[in-house]
Amino acid sequence: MISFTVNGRPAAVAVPDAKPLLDTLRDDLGLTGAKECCGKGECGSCTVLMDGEPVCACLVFTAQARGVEIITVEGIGGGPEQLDPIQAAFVAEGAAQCGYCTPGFIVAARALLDKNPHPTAAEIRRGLAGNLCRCTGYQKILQAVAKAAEGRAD
Amino acid sequence: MLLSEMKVVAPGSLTEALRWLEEHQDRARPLAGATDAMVRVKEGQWRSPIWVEIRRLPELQRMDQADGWVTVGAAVTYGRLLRSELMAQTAPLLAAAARDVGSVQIQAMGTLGGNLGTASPAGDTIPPLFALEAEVGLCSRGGGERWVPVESFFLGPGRTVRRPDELITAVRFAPQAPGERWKWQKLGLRGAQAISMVSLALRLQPGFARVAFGAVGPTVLRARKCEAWLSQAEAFDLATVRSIAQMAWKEVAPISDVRASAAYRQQMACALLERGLREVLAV
Amino acid sequence: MRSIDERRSSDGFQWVGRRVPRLDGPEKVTGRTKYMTDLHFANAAYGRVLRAAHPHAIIRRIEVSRARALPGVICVLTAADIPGLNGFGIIIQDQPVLAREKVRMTGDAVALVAAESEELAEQALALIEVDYEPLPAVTEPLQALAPGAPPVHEGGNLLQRTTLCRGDVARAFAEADAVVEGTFETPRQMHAFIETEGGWARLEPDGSLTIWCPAQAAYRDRLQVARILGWNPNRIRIISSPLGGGFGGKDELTVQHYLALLALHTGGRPVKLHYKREESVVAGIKRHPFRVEAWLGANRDGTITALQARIVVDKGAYASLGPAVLNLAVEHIAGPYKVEHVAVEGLLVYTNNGTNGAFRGFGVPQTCFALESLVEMAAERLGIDPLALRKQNVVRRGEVDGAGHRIESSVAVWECLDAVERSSLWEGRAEWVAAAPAGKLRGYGVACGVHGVGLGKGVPDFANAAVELTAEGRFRLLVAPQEIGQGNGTIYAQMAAEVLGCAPDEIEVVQGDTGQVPDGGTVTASRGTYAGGMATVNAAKKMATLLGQGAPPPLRAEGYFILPQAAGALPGIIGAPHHVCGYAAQAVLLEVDALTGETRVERVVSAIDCGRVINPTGLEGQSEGGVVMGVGFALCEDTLMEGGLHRTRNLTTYILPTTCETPAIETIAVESCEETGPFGAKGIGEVVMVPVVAAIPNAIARATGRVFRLPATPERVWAAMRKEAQQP
Ligand SMILES: Cc1cc2nc3c(=O)[nH]c(=O)nc-3n(C[C@H](O)[C@H](O)[C@H](O)COP(=O)(O)OP(=O)(O)OC[C@H]3O[C@@H](n4cnc5c(N)ncnc54)[C@H](O)[C@@H]3O)c2cc1C
Ligand code: FES
Ligand code: FES
Repeated sequence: MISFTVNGRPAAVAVPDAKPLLDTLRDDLGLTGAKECCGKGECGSCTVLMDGEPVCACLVFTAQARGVEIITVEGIGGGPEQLDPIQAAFVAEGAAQCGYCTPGFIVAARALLDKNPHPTAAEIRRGLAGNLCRCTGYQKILQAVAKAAEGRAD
Repeated sequence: MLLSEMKVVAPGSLTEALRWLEEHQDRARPLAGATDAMVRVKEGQWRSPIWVEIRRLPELQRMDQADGWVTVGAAVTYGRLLRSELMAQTAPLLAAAARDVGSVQIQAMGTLGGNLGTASPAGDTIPPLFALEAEVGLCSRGGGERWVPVESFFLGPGRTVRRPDELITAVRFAPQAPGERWKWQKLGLRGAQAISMVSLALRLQPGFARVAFGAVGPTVLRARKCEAWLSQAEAFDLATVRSIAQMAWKEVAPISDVRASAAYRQQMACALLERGLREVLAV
Repeated sequence: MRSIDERRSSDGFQWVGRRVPRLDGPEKVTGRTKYMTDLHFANAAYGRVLRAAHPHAIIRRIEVSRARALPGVICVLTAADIPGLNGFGIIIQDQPVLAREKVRMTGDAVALVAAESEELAEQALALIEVDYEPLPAVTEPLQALAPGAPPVHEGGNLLQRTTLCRGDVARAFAEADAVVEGTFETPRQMHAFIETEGGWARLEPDGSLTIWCPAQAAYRDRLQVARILGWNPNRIRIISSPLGGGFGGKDELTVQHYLALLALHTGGRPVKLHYKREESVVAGIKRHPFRVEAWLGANRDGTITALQARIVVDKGAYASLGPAVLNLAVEHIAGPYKVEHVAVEGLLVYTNNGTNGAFRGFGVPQTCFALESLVEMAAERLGIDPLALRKQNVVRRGEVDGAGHRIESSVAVWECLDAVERSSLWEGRAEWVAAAPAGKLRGYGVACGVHGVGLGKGVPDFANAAVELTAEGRFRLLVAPQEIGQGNGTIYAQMAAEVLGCAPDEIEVVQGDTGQVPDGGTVTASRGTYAGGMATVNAAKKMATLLGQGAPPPLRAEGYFILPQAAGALPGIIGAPHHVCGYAAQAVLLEVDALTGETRVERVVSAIDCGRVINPTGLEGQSEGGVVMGVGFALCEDTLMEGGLHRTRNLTTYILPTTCETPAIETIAVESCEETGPFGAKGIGEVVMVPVVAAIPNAIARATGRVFRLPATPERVWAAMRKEAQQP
């Protein structure tokens, strides 16, 4: 058994030690917010917070998560009715199109703003450079994160 | 070996970790941030029966300065490195390289020890460590600790002098001088999240120069002719800078791959050196 | 865009033209949306596909007994297990579902496995023995045409030849004041949708089959699967929406047929397939690489008089939509220009380089790069401002375009160019270039383009939608085009709400499920908003009529739309001409490093003739996404192959733009009002990425030297720079 907490709740899974954490979250814990796109750390669509740090869950051995605290997109905000400010800004700006990359961006953006609540435009770009999006061209994503950082509620 | 058959052990101390390596030798591998390990495992390589998790070992987390040495533990991540005040003061060159590694996500997990362990000629911390003339600390239960100059640490792509029972514990180097000029440059196929096609670590003081190139040879290379010229030059005008930079052409041995041709890489070693020198010397 | 928002408030619409937030937004940003590859079923079986070991080889024997004997393996299937046609392809079924005698690309499927786990399925693949007799791989289209080249298919390597001939090019070139020429090559661009191909299938207790799979054409997929299974299509249900991106790459069958075959052999257990990126790269279609050799003639007064081109297309191993791609490329070869003398020959050539197919732009970005480079070269030669030259030559309504087709629908390409000309980017371009920092070279570039909407002349194209009022008093809108990212669900709801007098979020939109929605065609060919929108409007109008008559719920009304066809014809070119087209003009500012050739696009202005804007946020989203996809095409993206093998295997070496590459993009909506479209709208999903792929090389040429091959990697730009420096 490998035990850790996910979104504040304890979890214990009986999976191979080297199973990618992403697969464990998706297959064994039913948390399908994090997605696989490249499986090799290039796209960030699998981003989750591990002890507060954004990591590619596709590159983490599940055994490495023993005793850590994981936050997935499902643990950010209070669901569709109670969005986190970043999520609300994504909706308002139109920063999610197909949406497959979106959970990874939300988690990475949350990590960025938790560390640096008032990032410059360049810091936002750099902070999200590990996340690929094929639909939006990124501009609305960058605007949404800037807006969330400024605390604009519109 | 199937992925599902691999075991991860999580020793609580360095001694215990070294015991696992000693007992299992080639059947065990250290596991740090897994950013290289998982990629290789998924590609069917590095299917080691036992992985010894070292990411959280307290003995490998140090970042300190004493007796003229700055020491950085092997399990220090890029993220910690580039946010460290000590690094900003004593090894800004290394911190700058750490900032250019992968993405925030890779920086959160990837470690200095892992970059040395993977021993890619494109590893981004390695040219700075060459330019700093760092030493790599290796430790085993039987043999205790030894320090190897980083230039002798690598044998070729993916190969080092580390024995299977040894762990990389730390690297150490003398701090960069406060007034020293330095430059880190990386040429990739895009501005972020790119593997180096060519990289350069440059240090310059009156009468002193260190130039190390990444990704243009089987290991990182020091450009000793350029260094000699740079440390002997009396004044730097554009012509001098250019001719020294051109010299780099003779000091590298790149190959062609999916990212760039050998010819371009060779030219780019010169280009990066010229650009770097012009920036630090303002010519 | 503020101007658009302002104008909206006075045009009398309540929803059309407004920035209605996407209805699926909250679900998506919280990770709640279930894509087909997110589904999970109990008691699942896991599928895998065995791929060919060679790009071109005869199969002598396939031995599966060892794989079948592996404990945990549920079934191993080969060509012998296909009940119906062992072939697929939207136009010609030349691609085997499972290769029997021959493989033509490393992406060819040879066998299928289902097992208790993915790992077991993978082990089983390794136990299948295939005895191959390798053949020489055909990898260069020009060599593939040479006599004696090894044939990829029995009929030889030339799949199609499309020509277009108008006027007298020989005379026109002889009389032209300036003739410019070049050979232009384009990359094997990868769709790189973030969700790779995958899904589930299950044989239901009643003997029917359900397939969950992200796809752009559920009804057509159903027919293709039915033909492979030898089944009545009505016994197959395909649930295909939402998609984690498509861009044309999920237009052809991806895994539906494999899922279907496996589901017939797992005893009713649901079976899953989900490609790793590496498999997607090898098996999935890509954008056709083009080699365009072209000449352009113009007069001193700026009139473009003649265009000649020879297009050679690397088809890869199978037809898919290649014939239609070539035809559209030929139709649009002259762009939006009124060139009078045109001679084009296009050749579609089989090779063993994987396989290519539909991709946003459908052949047009490739030819636009050639044409718009030549236009720029001509402007330079004649000493005419490149933007003025374009304005002078673009077609207006009622005029005849380069293909010889009289435009009888909305066209505002001149206005798009004019909007670019008046943008702050264009006005400040010279100053910006002059302010280049040391070691950097700056340039600006512009281009314009056109892209047909719908399937075009001679290809039946209709759409269908239904509106229901449930017994509980809720509206449901049932439409076929999938939610692929563009937000069409919200657009349809806006249109329906406008007609029904309710709010968009009071309408439940159901898309892409053959079990629920009527067959409304594909989400391709820039037809989603236009065709799906018209069907929606028509259905909503009928519903409004029913309501007006006081009919009690539950109610259902269906709406139809047959896409208008062009009056003229281009003989020999199926699908051409298009009656309705979207147009765009785009300009860029970029900076090149003088030592390394690294190129950064700093700013883009993107003026789009979209008929009418339904949702400004959606339009900007298409424009921005298209521009960055064009930046990738122009600067960094390519799937490299050698000897029929992929050198680019995954996203580690396939270089997509990131947040650090994305320029500041200003979108300007140019509204022309297309009378045949919903509220005047027409499709722009593809044209948004067309001009920019040429504007970038034009800007590079201005900054340093011209590149004739995309992507303009640092190495290529550096080489162009050196060549320029060596010129006297
Ligand atoms: C998407 C992506 C982008 C990347 N970008 C870059 C980049 O820009 N620049 C760059 O240089 N690298 C890059 N990398 C490579 C990688 O992140 C680095 O090499 C990283 O430093 C590896 O550290 P790790 O802790 O993750 O090592 P691991 O994967 O845990 O280990 C790597 C190897 O080192 C060995 N090892 C680890 N620690 C020790 C130790 N203490 N003693 C002995 N052996 C040890 C392991 O056994 C293994 O063989 C990238 C990787 C990915 C996936
Ligand atoms: S799936 Fe993990 S980074 Fe792409
Ligand atoms: S919204 Fe589709 S990939 Fe980002």
